[in-house]
Amino acid sequence: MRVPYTWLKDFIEIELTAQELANVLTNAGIEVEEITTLKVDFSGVVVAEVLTVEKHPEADKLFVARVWDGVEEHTVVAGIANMQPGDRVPLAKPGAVLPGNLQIKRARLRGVESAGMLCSAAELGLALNPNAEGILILDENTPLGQSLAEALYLMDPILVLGLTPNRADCLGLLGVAHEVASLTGKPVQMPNITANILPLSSQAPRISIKDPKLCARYAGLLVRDVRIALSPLWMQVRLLQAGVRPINNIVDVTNYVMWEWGQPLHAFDYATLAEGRIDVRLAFENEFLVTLDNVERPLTGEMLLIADALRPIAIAGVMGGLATEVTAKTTSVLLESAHFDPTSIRRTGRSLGLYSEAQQRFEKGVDVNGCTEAILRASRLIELLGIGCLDGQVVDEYVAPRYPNQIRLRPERARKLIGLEISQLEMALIFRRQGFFVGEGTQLHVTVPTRRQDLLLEVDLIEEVARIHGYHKIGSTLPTGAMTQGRLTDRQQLLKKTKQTLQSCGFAEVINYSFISPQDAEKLQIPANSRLRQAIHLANPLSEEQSVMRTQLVSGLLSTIAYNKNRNQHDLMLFEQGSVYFARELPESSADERTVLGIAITGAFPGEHWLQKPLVTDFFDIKGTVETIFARLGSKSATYLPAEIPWCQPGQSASIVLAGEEVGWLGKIHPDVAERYDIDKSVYMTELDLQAVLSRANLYPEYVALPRYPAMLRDMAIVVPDAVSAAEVISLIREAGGSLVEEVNLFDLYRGPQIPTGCRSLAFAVKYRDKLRTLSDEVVARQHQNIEEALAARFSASLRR
Amino acid sequence: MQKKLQEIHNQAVAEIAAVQTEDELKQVQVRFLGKKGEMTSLLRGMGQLPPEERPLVGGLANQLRDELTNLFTAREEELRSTARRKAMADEQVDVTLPGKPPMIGHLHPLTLIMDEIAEIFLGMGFTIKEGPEIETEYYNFEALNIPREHPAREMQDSFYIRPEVLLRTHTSPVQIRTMEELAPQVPVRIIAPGKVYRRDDDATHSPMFHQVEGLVIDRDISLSDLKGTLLLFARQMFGPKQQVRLRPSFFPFTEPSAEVDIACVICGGQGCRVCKDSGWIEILGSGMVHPRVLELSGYDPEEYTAYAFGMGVERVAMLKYGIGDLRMFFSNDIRMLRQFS
Ligand SMILES: [Zn+2]
Repeated sequence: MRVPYTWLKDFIEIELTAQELANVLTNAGIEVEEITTLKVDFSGVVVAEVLTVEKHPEADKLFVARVWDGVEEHTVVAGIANMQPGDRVPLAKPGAVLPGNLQIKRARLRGVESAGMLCSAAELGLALNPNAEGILILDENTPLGQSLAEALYLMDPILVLGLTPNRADCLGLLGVAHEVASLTGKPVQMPNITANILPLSSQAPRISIKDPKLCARYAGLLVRDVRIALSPLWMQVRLLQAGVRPINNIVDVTNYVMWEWGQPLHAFDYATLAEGRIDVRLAFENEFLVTLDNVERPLTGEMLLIADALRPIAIAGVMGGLATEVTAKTTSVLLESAHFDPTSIRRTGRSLGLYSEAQQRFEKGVDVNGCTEAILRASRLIELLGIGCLDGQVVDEYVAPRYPNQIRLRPERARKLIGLEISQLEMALIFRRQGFFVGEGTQLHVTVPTRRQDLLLEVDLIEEVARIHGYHKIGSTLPTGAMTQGRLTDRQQLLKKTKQTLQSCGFAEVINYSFISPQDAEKLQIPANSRLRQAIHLANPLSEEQSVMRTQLVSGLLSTIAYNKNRNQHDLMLFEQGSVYFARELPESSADERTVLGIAITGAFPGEHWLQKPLVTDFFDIKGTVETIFARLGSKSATYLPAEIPWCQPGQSASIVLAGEEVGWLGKIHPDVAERYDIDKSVYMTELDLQAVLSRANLYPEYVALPRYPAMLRDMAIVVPDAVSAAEVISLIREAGGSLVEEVNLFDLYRGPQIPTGCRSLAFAVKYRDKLRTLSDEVVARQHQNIEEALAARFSASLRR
Repeated sequence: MQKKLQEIHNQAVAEIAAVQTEDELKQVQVRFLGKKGEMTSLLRGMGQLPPEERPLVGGLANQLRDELTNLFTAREEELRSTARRKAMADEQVDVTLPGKPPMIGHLHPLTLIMDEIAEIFLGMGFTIKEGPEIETEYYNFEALNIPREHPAREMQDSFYIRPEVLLRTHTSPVQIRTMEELAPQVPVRIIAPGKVYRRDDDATHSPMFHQVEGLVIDRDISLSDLKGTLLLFARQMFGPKQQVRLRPSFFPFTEPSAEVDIACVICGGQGCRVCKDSGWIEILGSGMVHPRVLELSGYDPEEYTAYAFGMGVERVAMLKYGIGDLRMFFSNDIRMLRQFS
């Protein structure tokens, strides 16, 4: 909402500068976003009166005018002679600068010396007098000799309000004036709305509201003997300051009143209305209307219309029709001042893609009880401008009246909720200054006029008290009452610990968007029957690339790697902890959100260094990371089962099983998949379902007493076929070694000339310990031999000595 | 005999001075003081002396032994320290060469900020609540007093999954879920950090971003309690001299409502481009929970009052770290991430 400062002062005395007023309003919640002015791109232009206009003695198409600027007389040559002696016009004197940096100089034109030029609105860069050619004729009483910018109030400040949606009342200057009144204590001076209404000359317009739910009120007033012309410049300038384009006097009056009262008005060319009838009704299917912007618009049954006896003539509150538009030929006008349902207007506007000033006001809610005042104000202006006669009384169909609310305010409640001592008297005053009636006893009974639709409950009044009294006066206290304990839950602690573990291991945390492309499922070659395909689709995504809620973190991490690769960052250790989303069943019924952890490693680590070369990462880097996480979370050791993971390279991928439940996978990203993400290096990744992992985690480490007896270490190297996994060998060692085996540590893996093809040598350090006594060599030797025999028997393993 | 002692003395002193290594010194020591050394053999010859000379010579011999022992010890220490000095000289390094850094990772700046916010509120007795990101219209709108026809519910502003189900547009649904869970218990003091989504993507809007919601319910909670809490927060987050300013505003789920500014962290309140010369920067929206919201979720608004606030994590992070571009947070550019440890 643009508030021309001088215009606002019509309604209330203001002793503040525009900037001071802006601060006061902003602090009261009516935010002034900026203070601006109209764009004035000229200087040295003054107001002059035309004395004579004559043809140029030497040139057919030129004229010579003598003008008087209040001090001296000037002779200027003009190319057009739309001005008459007595007219006041803009004179650009020598030295003046016009838009486009046009310097005005004394010049001799065909033998006549011209002391400057007379200007048109266009030459001054002003959007005044639309479609009018020629020199800008100023209003009669424009002060002579004054600078044009000053005389037309072009430099007046304009306050641009950023209103919250509840303050529709401030979409009119009078509403703003009430607000200023409550803040400064000055009274609001209402504009004059008395007009001389003539007896009805013919039949009154017949107004009929078919749908009282969507149109509570419709007031109409006939104006005859209309003389369509341009509005006076003062009105046009004010409209420009408001951001409204001047059109013609009648339309300008409706807009002018809308700006004052917040009530949109519409003017129909009455002669074009069939049978002088106004029906407010819903559109029929297949109806059309050509609107003011000359677009034929198909209407639907939800759109509220204004129709005459035959056809639609306007889309209620949104846009008028072209056929009933006020034009230069119009001689009689029907003014409309109505109240339409905000929701209906919004829906209609949205579906037609329209958003007019009138529509905005209807949407946010205009005061149903302001309809007649607004139409009377328009009549007053019409009379004042002498552009028509008011024909009969206002025809007012008010089918769904609304009455002011009376709201109880308990001062003590207000004081408690705000946390500030404000006297009852002061509270009452805050409302009275805005023109509310306040009944006072131990409580206040505030009658809120219908223009303030945001005040419905006691708490709304309490806000009003706090707001007008000043939020800055509120002190700082802290909640008292019972103590509460602030602590992370176990789950939150574990999630935090997981992140911290990864951070301390050198990983960088990333946060990707939760939505991905449906193409990602293809790129990751996820099988059709996979749960990962049970994704949730957005009904209205911003783009196809962001249309599906992710079911995995792989695609995001791969995209992140590609993004960094393109910035020459090839060595990356990344993780993301976040949600994935599954449709519980197809079709999507409700969402299953799970917290997961994704980790990716690519490149070589640590970085280049003069002491040591970085090591290229491999499968065991990602596996070691997973093992470390489990260790940190106090989970029992996991098992890693060779598994085919669709997006992983066969033979370098495994599923992770924790206490019998599969909790994730790890592996090397399939080169085909990496290539689809524009990655040509090896990437190792894992994804863990944290819900499952954390349910098996222990936040608190379990202490085991330190051993009292020494351990004995024995090595063993065995040759086993490749098909036998290390995990199988280790588990047999533990099984055969019994409770004396404390640790089995694989310290070497060897293939080579001495080893048969298809086999490998595994070397283990086995640590024996008896918790109750010192072990003897014999016991350990016997146990070690048991293990060797078991291995030989089970895996045809041969021992290497 | 005495002469012999004098010879041994002179010889030993000369040899001790001549040796250059500890090993050589050891050999010399053995030769003079060892079991088969010169001193021993000399003392064995004592028996041949007349008995009256024995005490004198014995005394001298012991004296010599002690003296030599001391000389050996001193020389040994001298040699050892020389050798160590030499070894250390050999190990001298160019201390200006780069060190070997242990690998250390980086938490995302938004995580750091959310952790910091959480820590501040945990210290004030708040607990942390979480809620689903895929929400129903009931929790996201209706229960928050945002009626069906409210402009905030425009389809174009939210990501819908199907009618009634959408990506939450704020963390406020967690308020409702918390109230439903705890009502009518008081006091309630919670924050709820998390991801939220709005259908907006330009230089200053991201379709996904983070918020931290706060909710306190008790008897006699007031607007000044809200201000005090946020002042405490602002001072912990942005420095002990911070100020907060409440400005009236409007949210459907709070009444009275307030937008909260802190003194501009860029210019310290003097006025700059970031704060549009006002000296203040908006960091969150807040207010007293609307009585309808309390009532709907099980708290009698006559008996209990509550305040709530919601702050944008990205905004706080931008202010705290001086990051100018919102999009930076989701680019995951490792060069940016590495700046946060
Ligand atoms: Zn600043």
